[in-house]
Amino acid sequence: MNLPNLSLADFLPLLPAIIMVVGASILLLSEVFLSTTASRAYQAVLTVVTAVAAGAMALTTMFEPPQEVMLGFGVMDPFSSFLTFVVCVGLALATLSSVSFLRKRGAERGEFYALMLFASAGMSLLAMSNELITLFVNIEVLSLSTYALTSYLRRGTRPSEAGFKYFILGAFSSAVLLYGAALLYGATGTTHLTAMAGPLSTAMSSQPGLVYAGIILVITGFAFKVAAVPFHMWTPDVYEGAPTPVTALMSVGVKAAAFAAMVRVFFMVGKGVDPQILLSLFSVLAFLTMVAGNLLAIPQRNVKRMLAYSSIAHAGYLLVGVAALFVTGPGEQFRLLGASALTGGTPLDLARAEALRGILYYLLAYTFSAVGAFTIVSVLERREDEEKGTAWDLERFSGLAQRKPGWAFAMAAFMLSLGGIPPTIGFMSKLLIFQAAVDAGLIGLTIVGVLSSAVGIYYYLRVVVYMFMRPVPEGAQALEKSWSTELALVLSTAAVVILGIIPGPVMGWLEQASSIFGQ
Amino acid sequence: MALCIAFFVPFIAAALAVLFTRLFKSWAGWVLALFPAGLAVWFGAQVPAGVRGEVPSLTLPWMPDLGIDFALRLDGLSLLMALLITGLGTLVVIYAGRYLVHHEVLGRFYGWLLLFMGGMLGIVLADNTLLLFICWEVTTFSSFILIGFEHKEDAARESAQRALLITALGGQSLLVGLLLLGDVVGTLSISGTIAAADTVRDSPRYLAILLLVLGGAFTKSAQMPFHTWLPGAMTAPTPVSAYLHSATMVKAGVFLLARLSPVLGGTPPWETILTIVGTMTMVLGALLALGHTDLKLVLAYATVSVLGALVMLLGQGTAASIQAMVTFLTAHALYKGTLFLVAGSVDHETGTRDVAHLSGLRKRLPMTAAASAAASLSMMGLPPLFGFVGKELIYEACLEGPGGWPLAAAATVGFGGMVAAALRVGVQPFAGKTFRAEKPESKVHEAPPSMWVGPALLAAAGLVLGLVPWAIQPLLAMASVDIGGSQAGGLELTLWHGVTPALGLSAGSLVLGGSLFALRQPVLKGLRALNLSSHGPERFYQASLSGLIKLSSSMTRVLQNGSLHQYIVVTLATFGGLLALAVVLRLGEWPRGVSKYVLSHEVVVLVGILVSAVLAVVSRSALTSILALGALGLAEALLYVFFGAPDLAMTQVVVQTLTVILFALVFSRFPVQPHEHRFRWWTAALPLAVGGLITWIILHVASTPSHTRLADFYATQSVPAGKGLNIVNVILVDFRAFDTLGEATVLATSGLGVFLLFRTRSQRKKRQV
Repeated sequence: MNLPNLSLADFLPLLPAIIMVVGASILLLSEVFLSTTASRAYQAVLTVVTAVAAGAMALTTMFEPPQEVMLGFGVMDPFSSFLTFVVCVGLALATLSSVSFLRKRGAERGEFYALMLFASAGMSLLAMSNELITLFVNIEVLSLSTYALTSYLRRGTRPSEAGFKYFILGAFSSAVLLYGAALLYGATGTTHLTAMAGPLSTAMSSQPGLVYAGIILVITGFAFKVAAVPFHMWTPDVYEGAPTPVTALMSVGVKAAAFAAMVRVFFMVGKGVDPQILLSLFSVLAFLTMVAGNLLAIPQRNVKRMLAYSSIAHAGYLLVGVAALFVTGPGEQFRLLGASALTGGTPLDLARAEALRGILYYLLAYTFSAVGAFTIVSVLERREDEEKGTAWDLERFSGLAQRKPGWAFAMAAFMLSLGGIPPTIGFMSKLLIFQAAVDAGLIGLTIVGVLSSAVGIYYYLRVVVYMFMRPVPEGAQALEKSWSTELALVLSTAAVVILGIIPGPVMGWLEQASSIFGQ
Repeated sequence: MALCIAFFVPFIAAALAVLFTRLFKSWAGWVLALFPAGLAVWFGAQVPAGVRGEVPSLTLPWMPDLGIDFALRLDGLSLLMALLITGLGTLVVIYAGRYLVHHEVLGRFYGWLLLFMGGMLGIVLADNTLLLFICWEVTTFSSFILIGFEHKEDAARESAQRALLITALGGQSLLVGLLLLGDVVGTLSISGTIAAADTVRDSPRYLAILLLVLGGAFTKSAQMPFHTWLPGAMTAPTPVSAYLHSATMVKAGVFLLARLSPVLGGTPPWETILTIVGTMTMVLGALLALGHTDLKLVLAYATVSVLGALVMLLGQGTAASIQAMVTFLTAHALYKGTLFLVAGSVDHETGTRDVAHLSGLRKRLPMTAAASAAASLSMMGLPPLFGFVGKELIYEACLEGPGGWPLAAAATVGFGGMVAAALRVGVQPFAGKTFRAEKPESKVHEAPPSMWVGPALLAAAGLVLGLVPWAIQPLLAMASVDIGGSQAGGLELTLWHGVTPALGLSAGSLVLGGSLFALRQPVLKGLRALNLSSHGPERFYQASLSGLIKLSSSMTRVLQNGSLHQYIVVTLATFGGLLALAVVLRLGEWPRGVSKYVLSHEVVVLVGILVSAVLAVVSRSALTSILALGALGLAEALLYVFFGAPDLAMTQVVVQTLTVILFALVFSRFPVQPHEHRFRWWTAALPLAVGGLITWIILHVASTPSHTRLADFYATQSVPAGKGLNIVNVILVDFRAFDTLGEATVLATSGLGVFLLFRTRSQRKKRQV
């Protein structure tokens, strides 16, 4: 029997996650020795530095060929590197927006940032997981950290309610996912995703029921994490109750990592079972999620809650991309207008690569737009309104264009981007996803998706109307300025606008990242 | 390259607008107008080359990954539109400088107006469908801002939002249509698409593409039943109405149809839909125009009517109708631009734009009155104005085309309405002996030069082109060829066609229009009594918007009421349903190979598990529930013991004990309110059903043989690989060294976390003291 050997080289791919964990440990340890009144400004700086270092580390590995990590329990490929980068971007921006948020509430403590770092490390590792148990453990790492972050501000009932709901439903979904993984293991005798395809196709003839039940359970588990309808119910309550910077991190990081894991798992599963099953399951999920997410967002006057529903709708568009991964059929179906830069493989492989590229770009686009939007929400809310529930009312945005033209411009850019309106990054990403769907022949889903996104224009633009076309409410308090918030806003606005016009630089990475599942 | 610069000039001007307004104060309008004026001159200079058959084009790779090139092409149709956009743009910028002189954010207004101009120019220059779409959206959103510019009024906000919703919905529809179109021909280049027109028409997706593209074009060009946003958009400042809502933006839809007619046109569905929708819009628009006395509203409905006529002509698709379309489009831009600007001047100088309160203005506003007279004669289609040339062509095209006499009759009715409308807005306020206005006569005087130069120039252009139509003939001929192919060439414009059936129809529409105007009081009363605008599309828009909001509110109430209990019910139900599906499909048979013999001590444990589970659920005291859960866990541990996993049992016992203690501690501090448990059968049935399903699946799993045993590995490798005899020790510190390290780290980290929690707590207590 061969004994496994670990060398230092096996740890190198884990560096982004290791950096984040070390950063978190430093924060926790140093907090112990700080007096209550000591300045904690270094904590946010350290977190941002850690995030940037980890993100940069991930970028350096963007063009390396895929390699197995830790005996095949994980895999480092451009796909995981790109997602780690996305997570680090989200983390850095969310941290920047936390600084003044926490200071206003007198809640600056090391464990807040430490938990954010732990969660992000879990997300990064989740994107690398290539084995069901590893995957589950990483889901738990990020989930437990976010449960704690959700009720970090233990004042009033809302944070506790949000944390409790999140925990109960999240624990349920984790259990379901684990159970599904166990069934798949029962059917195939392996938990390694790469080794699963062969045994799965055997099991499909001998034990089809187990495979089906396993797939359904695993999809349900993931559907919870990405907030797909009808497993989305926790989202609005949790997003609203959590501290706004945490909501920002949750909406982008958890979503990115969960989508990454879902794509990896089902791409491998799809090799063993009839992809038609996955196609129909994901199509139904995508349809429900897009339509319900957009409809539910319409009546919201509460902007934070509106963004929560909109994040559901965005998960729906992403699910269209996931569904497009599982199309089969005759080669003529694929015209592949959007795949001119992708090379190698059959038309089917290219169509899948295109869909994957769409998903990845969408995640990046959503990261910038959503974190930016939540940052604006966080600077406008006031502690004393929270119990009344009016902290995030549209009225808060009245006349913002006169009070803070820069913020209003930034928010308008984020809203346009979330609404998928050119020339923003959100439009580009919507285009990439739906182009891939059209190329894959999912015409119906595309029509439903794009038309339901037109509904989104109603509730996104309402914010713009309030900012630009309403007078400043009487008795509006002066808005605080802080360098970190401004920096976060400048960075995300620049990304939203510039990448919407010149997506070139990112496209190179995406081609790398999306070609990995081709063969 | 020059084309590329031309594309960006309006955007640059838009960026400079605020700065220039600060620098040049009241002269900013004139300075900023230099940008579009320069463009207009440049485009004008391209006409001779165009007539020689040169088509300047430019393709720069932009997003090669998506097939989106920055591709521009200046053919005859683009050139005609570009000249209208930049020429009218120049005059409107100058006009706006005076009209909005006291507006607090005039600079921003210029910026948005120029941005809009850039988007509009981009639409007509683009040779890539997605570049066209991006510019299309730029016009949608800049027009949204411009309509809502007087945003202190509720009406302005409401109508801006409506215009945006309708046109943006159309925009999304267009986007899907263009994506599908690109997918069928394999390119996004417009000229490439035109070259592959046959592929599109033979494609099974043709109808879907056509309908989606029409969705975009009809909303933008205010065709029935999407026209409701255009009258609302009249809340915009008048220069905006003159520019966006008569001459340029609303023509974007018509332009798109013209641009794509070589690809999508000439089929029965195209012909039918465009002709029916266009004709309906033409006739109803003209009728609706008569039901209003607000100058701008009358003009808006008359514009709707004209847009209908243009769409109808495109639907006919004959050479004559395309030539008529191009000619009339130009004529309309000239006279309608003038009349809007005139309406703005009247409003500005007299304080009202309600025709009922205006008459005899010609003495006080001579220049404006002259411009207005020329433009309204053109609108009525009287010689020797350019409108007459266009109208004659339309009648001829109708008579010759497949529509024949019925269509010509409809056109006569439409033009009759337009004649009456022209009399009402262009003549009535200025004619009459008595002077009537909001302000007293002495206070009303001629508009300043920057406000009459625009209308005067436009009206003069209409007159000159009517007298010497051959001057514009080459340009219009080029544009016709670009739409209809070479058979649409050979356009000949003459003022006098001789006595033809078309002239008869012209006379007919004049008589009809004249009598409608003469009977204006009863007509007005009748139309108001009918209250057309609150029926049909208007009501449909209101109803669908409020219906959508109602639907989504009730969905939120039902689906998202904040009750965790309900969330779990929905989740469990969906989840159980999916599982049941799997079971019904594939796991129907009785599981094989499962031992049917159960030993007595196992039964005891099972009963224990069941009892504690039920107790945990029904108990009213939190402590009892926690203890019951603990008992359940211990019973499970016993099961592990029975089946030969004592280590697992040990772990389970330890974990359960800890959990019970923690739970008890936490719940003792929780403000748990006792509440009534109401037993509802379905709340019990649902979890039971899901549990039953899962049990069933477990039985199936149990019948599958397991694969490997890890224990053998440890047993054989402990000595050779781990160099230790105590297997447990070797496992902990060698085979699972990482796990152990990890566990130790987790313990240390949670210790730190707990410490910090306690400290925060004590700090807060101190602070409260």
